Amino acid sequence: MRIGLLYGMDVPDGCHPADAYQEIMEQIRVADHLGYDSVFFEETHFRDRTLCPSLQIAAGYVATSTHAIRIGTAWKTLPLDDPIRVAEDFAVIDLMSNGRVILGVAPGARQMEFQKYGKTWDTRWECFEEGVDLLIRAWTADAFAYAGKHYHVPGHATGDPKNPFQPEPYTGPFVVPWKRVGKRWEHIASTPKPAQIPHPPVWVGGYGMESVDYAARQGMALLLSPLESLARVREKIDRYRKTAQAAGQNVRGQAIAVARDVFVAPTAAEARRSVEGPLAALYQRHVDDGVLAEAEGKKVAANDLRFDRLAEERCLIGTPDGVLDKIKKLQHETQANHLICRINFPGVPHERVLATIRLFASQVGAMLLA
Amino acid sequence: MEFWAGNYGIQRPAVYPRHPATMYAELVEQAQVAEECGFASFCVTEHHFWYDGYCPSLLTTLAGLAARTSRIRVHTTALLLPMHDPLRVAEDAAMLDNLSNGRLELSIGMGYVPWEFEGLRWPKKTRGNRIVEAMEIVRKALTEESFSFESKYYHYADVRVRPRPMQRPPRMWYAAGGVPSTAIRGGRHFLPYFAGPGADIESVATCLEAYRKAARAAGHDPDTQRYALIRDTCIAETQEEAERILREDLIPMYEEQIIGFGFITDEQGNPLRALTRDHPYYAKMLASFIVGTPERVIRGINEYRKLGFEYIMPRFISANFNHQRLLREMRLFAKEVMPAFRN
Repeated sequence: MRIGLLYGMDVPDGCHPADAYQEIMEQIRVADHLGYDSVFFEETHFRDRTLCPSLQIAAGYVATSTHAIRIGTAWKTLPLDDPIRVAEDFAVIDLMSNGRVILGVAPGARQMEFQKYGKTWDTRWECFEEGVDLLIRAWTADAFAYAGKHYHVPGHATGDPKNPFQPEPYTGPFVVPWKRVGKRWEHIASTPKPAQIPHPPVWVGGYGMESVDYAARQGMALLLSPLESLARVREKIDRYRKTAQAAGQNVRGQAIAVARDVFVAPTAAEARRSVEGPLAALYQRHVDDGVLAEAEGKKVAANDLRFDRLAEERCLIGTPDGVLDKIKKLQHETQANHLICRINFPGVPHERVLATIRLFASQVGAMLLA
Repeated sequence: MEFWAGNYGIQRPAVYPRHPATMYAELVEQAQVAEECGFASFCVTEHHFWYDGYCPSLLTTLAGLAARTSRIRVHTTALLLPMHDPLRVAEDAAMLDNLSNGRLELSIGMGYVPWEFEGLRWPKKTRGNRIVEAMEIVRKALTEESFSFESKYYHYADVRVRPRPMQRPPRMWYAAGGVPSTAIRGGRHFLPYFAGPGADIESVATCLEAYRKAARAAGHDPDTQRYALIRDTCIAETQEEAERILREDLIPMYEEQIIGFGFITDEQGNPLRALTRDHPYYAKMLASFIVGTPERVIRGINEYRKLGFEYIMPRFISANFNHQRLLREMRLFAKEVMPAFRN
């Protein structure tokens, strides 16, 4: 089981974003030294207290200030952005970090963001599927043209949307681009290429079952959010394996990542005291946002949001031994191989988060390796 | 007077091939040395789809540099705004400004390479109007609690960019390139003026005069504006050494890169792709370089200062091809040239 961290970039009331960012970056540097496998950032736009509108900027910052920790997105809303720009940005981050990028992608979950960006909400799934295709082509192909239903690269590219990718027919020795004749640019080469070969891993996120099916059909890694109950996680991973098998994809070596809200303290009472309030506030926000219902596939009963139910169904909270048992159970039941922990809840002070990161690494992480 | 360092594209062209990851690691060291030397900002520059890996994502790269420096400003020279969604640029900028503790500075360029517009699917034809509008959108997004913008090209309604940047807004510049028509547009809208490389002092003066005239015509006082300039500079203890840098690092790069991009243009703005060494524009390009000992460089900078440029970026080795030599040049410039301009 590999252990990573998850950050929503929450800023407490009365705290300047710059200070909150510096605390988060310090936590990540500590996690890097302690041997955490990865750090993931969540994307949010136009929100007052959750401040990570640009995964590229957060990832770029982490790339040069850490040494070994992998840098992930959980997740990049691909249809909101231009897939070519995403390919360029994360290629640069992959180079700056010496090949540590994991790109989690999703079709999008908040309609308001699409409205503000002037993008079409209804076609997000089609855009997402084409976007992933385009992204991987841009990372790996030499000059190419792409004529899909929603994306045309270059803008004037034409062709069959069923077979949108056209590699450049040019096969001669290398010629600098401007010496190739023609007024119009028929093919584009996205540069620079990322450091990882053939390209950084692409993990599929998203709240719906469509994401699971898509990941399975493509043989891609699966990334599940902390909002999903244990039962839902089991259901999704089960479905992922079955669909992959039916589609003839071998997903045995693929990452199956489950994100969870995690908090450990020397005693269960102390853990509860530290996070009960912050956790309730966090989940109330998920309910207000509508994302909790979307992740669960149905409305979540108020009873399920009580602390003991949350601790049972969704979170890993308690003493190191208790949490370790729960993780082992999760691992055994679902065969998930990557646990992404949100330790930094909004409302838990920096020092306490740092202490938990240390305690978790020494008491839980070390045991999982053993 | 303020000096800026950098303006690199993190390229590995045929004349100087290396692994790009090495170059990004070197770039971090260059920014750190520039900070030590007392340069006010460190700059990176943008192009797309160029075979040598020319850096396409400035704000991402600057985030990496901001993490490893503490005082020097991080600066885009220039971010080609007409090929980006200005709202996304504003969100990136707001976050980077907070992460860098208010050290972001934005120079905004128009872009001129046709295949970049085609690849990123923005119309090239309308870029002149769009750069002015997009700069306004970025400014509004970074200063106003909630902004709306409606025009022929851009539509935004009640958008609240969060986090709000530390600087409201970061200092912005209009990168005007080397032709009078873009300078005139800048003057009309009275945007802080930033002149590019590759044009000799007469052309720089012509463009600047065009800018001032347009600004006056629009009812502004050009003397109250800020003016910045890039000059390709080769500095060494001796003239022979400086000329060796010119010969080995600068000219090969110009011949392959700038001419290939179509950066050097005739009066009509058409790129001169077959720029041979006996072409009159080749001489103009050579004349734009400041090459020599610190005394010679001080004289060269003073000529431009007389025109009104108080912000100068001496760009060493044009692209960051030769790391060690570049660090040496930066340190020599800081030691021998900067003190001559302390007020």
